[in-house]
Amino acid sequence: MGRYLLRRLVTLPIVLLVMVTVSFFIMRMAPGNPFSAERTLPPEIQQSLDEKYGYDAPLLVQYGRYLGRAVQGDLGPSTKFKDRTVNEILADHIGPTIVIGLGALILSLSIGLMAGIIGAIRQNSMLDYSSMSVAMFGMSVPRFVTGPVLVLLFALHWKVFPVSGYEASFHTWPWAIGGLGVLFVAWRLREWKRSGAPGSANFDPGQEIAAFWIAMLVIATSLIVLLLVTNETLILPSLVLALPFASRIARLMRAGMLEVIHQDYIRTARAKGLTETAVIVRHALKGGMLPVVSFLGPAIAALLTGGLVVEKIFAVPGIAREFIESALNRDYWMALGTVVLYGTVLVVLNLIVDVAYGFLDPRIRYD
Amino acid sequence: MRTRSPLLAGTLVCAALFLTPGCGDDGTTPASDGAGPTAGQDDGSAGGDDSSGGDDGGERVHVGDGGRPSGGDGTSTSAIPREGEALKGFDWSTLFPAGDGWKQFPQELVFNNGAEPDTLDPHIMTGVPEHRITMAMFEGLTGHHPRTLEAVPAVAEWWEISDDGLTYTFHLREGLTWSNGDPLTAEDLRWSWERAMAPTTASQYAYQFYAIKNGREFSDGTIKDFAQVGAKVIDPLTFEVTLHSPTAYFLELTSFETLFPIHRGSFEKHGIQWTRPENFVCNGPFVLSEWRPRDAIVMVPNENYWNRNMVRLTKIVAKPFDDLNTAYNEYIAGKMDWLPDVPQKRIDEVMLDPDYYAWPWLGAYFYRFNTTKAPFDDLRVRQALNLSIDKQSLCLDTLKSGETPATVYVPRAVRDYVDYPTLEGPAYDPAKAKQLLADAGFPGGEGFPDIDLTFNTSERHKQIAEVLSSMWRENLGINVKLRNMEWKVYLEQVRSMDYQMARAGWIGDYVDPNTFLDMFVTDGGNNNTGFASAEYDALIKSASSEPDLAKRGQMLHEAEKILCLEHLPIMPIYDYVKQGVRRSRLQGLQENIRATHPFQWMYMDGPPAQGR
Repeated sequence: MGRYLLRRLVTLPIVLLVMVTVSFFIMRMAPGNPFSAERTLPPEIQQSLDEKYGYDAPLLVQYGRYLGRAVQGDLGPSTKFKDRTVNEILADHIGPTIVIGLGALILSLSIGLMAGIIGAIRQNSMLDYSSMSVAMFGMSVPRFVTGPVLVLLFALHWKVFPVSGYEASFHTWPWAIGGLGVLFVAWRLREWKRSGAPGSANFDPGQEIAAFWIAMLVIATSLIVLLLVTNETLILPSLVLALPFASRIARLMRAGMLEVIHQDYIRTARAKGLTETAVIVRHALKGGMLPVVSFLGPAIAALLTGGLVVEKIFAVPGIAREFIESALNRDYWMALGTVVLYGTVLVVLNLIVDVAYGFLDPRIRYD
Repeated sequence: MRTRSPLLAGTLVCAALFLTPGCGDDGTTPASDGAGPTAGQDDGSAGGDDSSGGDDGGERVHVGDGGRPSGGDGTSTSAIPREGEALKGFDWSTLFPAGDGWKQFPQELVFNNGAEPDTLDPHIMTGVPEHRITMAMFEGLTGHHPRTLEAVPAVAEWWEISDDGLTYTFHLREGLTWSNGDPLTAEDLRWSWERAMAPTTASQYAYQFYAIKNGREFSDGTIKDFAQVGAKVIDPLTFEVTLHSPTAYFLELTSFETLFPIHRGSFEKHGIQWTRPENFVCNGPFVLSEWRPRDAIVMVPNENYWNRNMVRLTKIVAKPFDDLNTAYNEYIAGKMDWLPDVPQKRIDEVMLDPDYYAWPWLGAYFYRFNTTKAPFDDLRVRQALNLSIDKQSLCLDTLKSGETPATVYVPRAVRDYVDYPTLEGPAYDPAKAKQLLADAGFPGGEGFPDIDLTFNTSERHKQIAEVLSSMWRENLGINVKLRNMEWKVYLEQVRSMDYQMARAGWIGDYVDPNTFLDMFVTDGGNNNTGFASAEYDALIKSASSEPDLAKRGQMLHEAEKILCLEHLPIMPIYDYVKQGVRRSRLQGLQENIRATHPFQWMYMDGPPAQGR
């Protein structure tokens, strides 16, 4: 496992280099330049601008210079937002995208998993049909429709949420982390009392590690839920972003569960007299979730890159729109900067998904 | 629900429109309407294809020429002395007396600026969103009257102009300071101009200095020594500017951002970071208090502003919503007081809003013909296309927002501000158009090749193109294929003359026919039609140095006749209007053709809006 991880991490820079190279040259092939506008600039001013931003050098030289700077962590100036560097713009706008994206992830998982499991357990019931029809609807209606409609209903008509904007305050987080921490300690103490404290013969370090990761997952989820609940501006954008994913997750989960539920080991579990809940939670879920997990990698990536519509409709100062607009603006360094950022995120996410596979499916081994 | 149904309908229609591919708001085309991705820049990107007027034309800031104001709306414009010592001690409060009623209301203005400003550096900025912000925080030697656009005293308390019109002596106010308390003297102006002109600054508006002696040479690097440029400090309160030829609108140039002073200490200490709130030093009515990119810019009054008593607003919040639909929703919810642009997709609903206004704007919407290639190298074909479209019906039935159909290029409303004779082009006449096309060898459109009509992707441009092409099909029997493309690609194709017929828009730089007409001189950088006329070039050239304003207007008039009646390399379609909504409690927002609205005149005469 360790060697596998190492190998994947070593290939990361190579993948990035390929992405940057391809994007660099493709972008320069597109017609127009960062300063082209309806009004043609006098040639001498165009010249000064090209010199200032280094566009007067031959393309290969520019490419070399860019790589040199990028390796040192300097992604260059932005020709559009002239007071800020690409690094600053990325830092300014990555936060909202992550917050909305994570919010959407939690929402889509909770809605999707719930609907999928219910659909599978009560297969071919009214409940199953209706939740799957809703899911079909959620998947096929694009966000630029759901967005305005939800705004109309929740913001303008019922006035429960604001029309737009982005406000994320984290001041409740220390309390939540403290409280959950106390709960975690209490839980471990109780476990140790029952099965053996550290140092005793019965102590199982593997269980401690598992408990730690479960706690981390629970804390992270609770924090994001808390953020959504305490910041009313986040709910509508997260929801609109989540809907198509929730629908897809529901369908995947239902299919995955249906397949697992008819397997022999589930029959065995039932035969030995386990309750239906125990069968589902302890045995069926793990196997049934595999399709969802493999979907999560690309889904998280899509949540981070695909927020353009949501960011526009709700005026969220996120990074997805910088990604698109910088390319349209021919803001070369800015566009490359977003490529580098997204590239890194995607590669790392795919890695995490591959590793998670190993945990969920004992048949998968990495060596 | 009943009372909301129009709203509901509006939004649903909107949602439906979103489905249309290529429509701006789906976000995939932030650039849509000329809205250049260079958002808010020349191309008015501010609004995706919502941007009112649609103009890619470039909603860019305009340099006024204002030397010749037209009187205005009776708000005592004549109270402004024109020049010389008469300006000294001019009492501003006489301009727009407001009484005391406003004082009981909170003086906070939230408005939609339409895009995230590219920069807050006045020397580097180019677009309208940047213009609104920098106008609030900086001030040049002169300012302008919010209604008539006349030059009014600002940093300069008064000025003298030499008889030959070449030397301007500006007398600065005594005791002027920057927002941090540093004194502001003539040396600040000299240094700022040097910085703005320097090739290393690479200001896209450096050409605003070309009127000044050696301004062009210094900014392109042929002259390295700024002492040779016609901008001299006589003493701390006297700044002397020498022009290389008389320029009627020079006092308007000095109210333009590129010629504003900026604070040297702050710039030299912080580099490009000088525009951050913590480093920001300025000399205008407001100072920068917060800058949250893509979220808000907050400005508060500058306590060191020389005319602090005139400034009534206590806080200005500029929101950067480029989704005008969202902005209008915020307006309905009572969160904003002024939208300088409205969503075109909901125009039917917006026009019923009691707060709606539509003011003539200094812009023209037209189509370019590529006159170097068949079939548009034939004048009769161009005339036939022009005569066979019913612009009246286009404006009334399709655009529906007060645009005036245009038969000539220079917008009609310019005549309210400058001395310029009226010109009428030919009216809608399909019979004559048919005849002309037949004369050109295509009776009934037979044998006429299919034409490509190029435009940048935008719902509005598409709509107009569809209406016009159906008129051509009906009246002339010819086929027009619509070709939409991304903004920068479209620009490149027009520039390289790789088109047959192309949409265009132009927003004037200053209130004068010249800003429209001088682009069509032979081989002009913005001509892009192949039009070349020695007679036209001569008229434009002699007009630029003609001191007699009436004669000058006549010359430009003759030039426009050549352009629009004789050669027709372009087909005028309509004059832009600037549409917006503003609360009735927002006072001091005055109509003017440049759609530039200084904040120091504005105040709130009523309680905050409750939303609907």
